[in-house]
Amino acid sequence: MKHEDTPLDRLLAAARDHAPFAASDGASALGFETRLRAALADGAQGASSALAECLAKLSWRFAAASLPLALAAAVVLALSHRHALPDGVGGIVTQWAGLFPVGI
Amino acid sequence: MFFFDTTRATRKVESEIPESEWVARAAKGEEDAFVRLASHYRARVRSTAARFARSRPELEDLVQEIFLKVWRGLPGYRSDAPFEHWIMTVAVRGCYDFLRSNRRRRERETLYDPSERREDADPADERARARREAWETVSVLLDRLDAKDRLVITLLDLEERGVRETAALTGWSEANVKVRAHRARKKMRDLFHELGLDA
Repeated sequence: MKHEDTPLDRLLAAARDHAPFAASDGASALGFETRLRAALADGAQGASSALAECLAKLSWRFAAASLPLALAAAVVLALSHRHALPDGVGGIVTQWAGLFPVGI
Repeated sequence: MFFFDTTRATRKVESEIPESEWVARAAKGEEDAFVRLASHYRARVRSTAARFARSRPELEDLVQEIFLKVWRGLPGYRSDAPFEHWIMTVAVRGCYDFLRSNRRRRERETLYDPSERREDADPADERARARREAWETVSVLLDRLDAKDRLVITLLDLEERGVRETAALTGWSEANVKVRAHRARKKMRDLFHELGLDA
């Protein structure tokens, strides 16, 4: 790929010929199969927790970006239902309780 | 007493089944077919993943994670591209995800797995030692690059894959690969001078 011959190029060329963690024998291949089968079995059992894992992996940046959006969505929903924001905590509770399908 | 080695016969029959058949079976959820495919491609995936892991257990975890991604992605595999190319694409993207998710931990931890030093085939082999030391030095430089830069240098300069192949594996455009490689090499050269390695 590279056609220059700088010290860095020579270093990369030497590093290219080294295979890290190269030893791979039959025993480790068998271990690989066993581990893979166990992981597949775990995956089948834990499929329902995929969403929870996905949420758990979300970064704090995503959370920080989502919070204002969630607040804006709440305000829009509130306005669209009552055309005005309620006064105080009691008003908010009363307003949102009205949105539930069951009587509170 | 008549004896018939069924294992050998089964192996022979299995070896006559084309790969596309194994892939189709695995895509339908047949675990044995998938494990067979995984065992077949393990060495290739492991060889690429080894450029990103810093210890043997970390490498084994990364390889397993890649194959789990392959398993989950198999139903979406379309046979218009060779299976090997598809599996290597999943592997490269798995390595990239691994680099991104482990960047902070990698910055804090010690750099090399001491077991690597004990595993030279012949400790007296000067050339093998020189290659290993070169790899360790390159690792120091690569650890200071961001995930995309490290990925592009690894694929182009260490695995000697072409620009087109790198673009296909990463999902980036060829122009993007070239620009990123140029910038990454410049960063590496600067680091090389900064660390006094050219002395």
